[in-house]
Amino acid sequence: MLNLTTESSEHSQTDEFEITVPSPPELMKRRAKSHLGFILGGSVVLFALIIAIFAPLLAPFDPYDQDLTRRLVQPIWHPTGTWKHPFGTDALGRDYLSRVMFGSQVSLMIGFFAAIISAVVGSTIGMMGGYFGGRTDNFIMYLINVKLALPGLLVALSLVSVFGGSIVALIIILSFLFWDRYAVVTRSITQQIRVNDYITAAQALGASRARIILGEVLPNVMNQIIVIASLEMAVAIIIEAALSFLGLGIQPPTPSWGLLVSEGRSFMFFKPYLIVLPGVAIFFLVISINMMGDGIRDITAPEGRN
Amino acid sequence: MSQEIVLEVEDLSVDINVPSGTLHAVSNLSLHVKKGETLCIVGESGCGKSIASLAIMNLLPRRASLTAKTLVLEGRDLLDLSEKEFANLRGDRIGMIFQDPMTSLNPVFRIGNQLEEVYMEHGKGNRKEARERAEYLLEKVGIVAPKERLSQYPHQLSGGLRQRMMIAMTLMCDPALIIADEPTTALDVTMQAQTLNLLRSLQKEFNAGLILITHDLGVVARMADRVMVMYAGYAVETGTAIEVFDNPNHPYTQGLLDCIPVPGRREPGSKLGSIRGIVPALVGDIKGCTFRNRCDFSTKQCEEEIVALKELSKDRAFRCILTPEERETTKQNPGTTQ
Amino acid sequence: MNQLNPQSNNGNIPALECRNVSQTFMIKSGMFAEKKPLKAVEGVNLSVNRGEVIAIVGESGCGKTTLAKMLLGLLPPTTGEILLDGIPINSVSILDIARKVQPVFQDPYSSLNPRKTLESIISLPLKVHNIGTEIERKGRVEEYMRLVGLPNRLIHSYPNQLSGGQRQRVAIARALIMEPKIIVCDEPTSALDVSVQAHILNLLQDLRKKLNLTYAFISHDLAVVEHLADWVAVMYLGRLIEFGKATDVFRDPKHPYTQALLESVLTPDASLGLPEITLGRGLPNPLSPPSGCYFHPRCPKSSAECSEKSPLLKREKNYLVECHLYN
Repeated sequence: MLNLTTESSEHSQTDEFEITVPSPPELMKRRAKSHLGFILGGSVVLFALIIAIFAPLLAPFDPYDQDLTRRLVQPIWHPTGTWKHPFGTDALGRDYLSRVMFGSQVSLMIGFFAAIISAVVGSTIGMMGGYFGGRTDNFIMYLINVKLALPGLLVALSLVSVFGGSIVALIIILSFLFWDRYAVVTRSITQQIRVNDYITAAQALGASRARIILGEVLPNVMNQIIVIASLEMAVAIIIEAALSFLGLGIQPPTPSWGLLVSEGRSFMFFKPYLIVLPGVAIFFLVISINMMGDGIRDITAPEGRN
Repeated sequence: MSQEIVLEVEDLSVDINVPSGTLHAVSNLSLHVKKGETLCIVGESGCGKSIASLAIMNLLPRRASLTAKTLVLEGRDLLDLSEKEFANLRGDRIGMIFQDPMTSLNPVFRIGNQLEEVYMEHGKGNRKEARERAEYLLEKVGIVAPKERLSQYPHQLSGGLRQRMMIAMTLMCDPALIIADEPTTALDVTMQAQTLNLLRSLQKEFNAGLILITHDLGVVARMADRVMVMYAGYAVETGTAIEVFDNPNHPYTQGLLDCIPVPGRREPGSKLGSIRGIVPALVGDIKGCTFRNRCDFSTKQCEEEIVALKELSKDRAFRCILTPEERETTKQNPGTTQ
Repeated sequence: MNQLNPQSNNGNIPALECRNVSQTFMIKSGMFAEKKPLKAVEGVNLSVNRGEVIAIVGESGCGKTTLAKMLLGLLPPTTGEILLDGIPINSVSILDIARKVQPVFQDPYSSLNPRKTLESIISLPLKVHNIGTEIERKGRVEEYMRLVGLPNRLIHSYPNQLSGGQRQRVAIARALIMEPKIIVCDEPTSALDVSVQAHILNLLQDLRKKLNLTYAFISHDLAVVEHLADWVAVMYLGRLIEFGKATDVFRDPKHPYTQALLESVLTPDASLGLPEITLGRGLPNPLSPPSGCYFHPRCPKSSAECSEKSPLLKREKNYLVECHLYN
């Protein structure tokens, strides 16, 4: 250990130096506070999240509870509607508000976990390819190219028909659909980062490759990953809704919004609320996630050149 | 022998709008350049030298605004010109050479193409004449086998050759003024001397005025007829190269000269001179002299106002409340203030 | 193997030594062409004692950066040996090498991770080597910040908030925090302003004396080299063409290339004009270097022999030069 005095050395010429530029975290906070899209989108997503988490407490009824005496009751804005069922009931007498609320759980879970799993898998693959180069990178590029050549939706459909439409199966299948986007982007960024001297400095310290990739490269890639994740989450939600609508995704009686739309199809003209309500829910959630994702992109964008 | 003045600038100021206020990038700058003369603007990063040259060429970023009492090129008032008229001037009457030749050249066009384009765009002649002039100039800058080079792409040339090509491109339309911003900083040391030699001889031959912007005092000493030292947006000292280097009048100039390692000048192992402190942020209105926090001779008055340039003789001026003699006495009697 | 041990050595083991070090890369020079050898560094011999500064000088393409990487243990030499305190570099792990040799790079903007705080950056070596507890590390970081002249209150700031000179100080603190013996400085002040350069060079001088460091100082700026170095090694196209005490090399450069380099230095003397450099302009292609002496196409003093045979290394006590003029 050095035996140094605690006084500042004669070499400090910067005692009066004051920081005039915000640090990256400060800059992001500042931008976030004034970004309308982010705040608006984020609020709605947060709202949906709260509903999803607390649905068992907040929902007035059990979404599976059938009451055949109260089938197809109109929602509150219809002259015959009552406050007992603000969103009315469906063909089996189940309270629609509760079904829509519980439906948010399905959408958010699938969207969130599909985005996360594909992010982890795809980014790892991409960073490894970008960092190691050579044969490893050739192999990874090959994988990515194969994936890009696959007709995504058709593959998803076939996998679903094989593995069924449980939530877990859907999450895994959708993750498989998205990982390549992360891989391509993180690979490209990693290649640029790799030539920086701070990577060489870490290598010269004897840091392990895992430490360098996770500790030095990842923080610089993270922002991009989050942006992609938020946008992919929206896509996942839509695809799940579509699959469930087609009967290939979530199976009844689980309330998925796509499934609700499908179930309400036959009553479309006389009881439009059956498809409008879940449809509007999908719409608002997806658009909010997109706004939030765009906001994150703006907030985390690097400072322009001086 | 009176030489014609090519560029006359008086009281040029450039302000830039930044989130935290107004950045005074250049303040009250005055200079002039004659035909065949080299004016070196020297200073460290942030002193405003590059912005000043961009201001002269009307290439400032959108958030910047320029004010000047006089800005005249070859008798023409530049303050009046529209952007279109300025675009006609650039490349024709004013040539510019940048630091990195790779990014100043378009990598997807052949060299001959780029050279000829400058000529023809300014209506100097047709393609045949342009090609002849390009060949002529490439030879002048010392590029062997110019005909072959014309059909090559920039990446096929080395850094030194590319910079020579840039010089050739600058001379295509026989400009009255050449502005070179750190033209040799990116080159190897042995290429630097050769390129500067070339620039100097061509400048004399074409009788153009040359503004050479650099942070390298060695380059300034060897190239300049006259020197302007800039600090924090202000010109702090002007004069001929010999005057400024042999008798620096401003403490910053003196400080800079003390900082540089010069072979043979010092005991090896001894310390280099240094200027304490750092460049101040130029945002907002700074009261007093911008150098005072780093100056060993600053007085109370230095906090109040920034003085105008004191003229010692024609083209010799410096911006300091104290004269060198007064500074000497302050050094010998520390504690006495003005 | 005959070593260049300077007189002051007294039989001590040099802190850093290169014995016939070469690095050859295999490069693809076309889509279907076979890989060709690129001799980035060829047959370099040098040695430095503890506490001394060796400057490695040359222009772009001379191999100095490749040599730096080898000295840091990041690239094993293709042939030859590098010894740290007498121990071959390839017999120890990178972690052990790291405790002996550390770098300071040229570009202050790329040598610090923009998403990490100063504390995180400077303490990384301690974390990698599992030294100390959280609190001990912070204390050590603060100590080294003070040593390089950075106020402790900046410990939680980010690189983008600092100036170029301050960033270099951070890089120096990071390099020193594990108390290595040798610092490889790759153009550490080339990207800095003149006044900032003076501060950093003074700091490096001071640290060398205080901590008895050895510097391998790579630079193209001969004025800086003359100020700082004890020994000078001049490289051209991967070969070491001249080596000796700094005072000797500067007073009486032997190799024509060294002479040209010295003549190219522009001192701030306004009574002088520009030097006339008589080097031919043919910059060689490293993939197919000239025959005989690599420098002969550009050499103002070349003769027929120079294009036919490679010159032999002339060794004297404390001096090496590779040129037919001295064979």
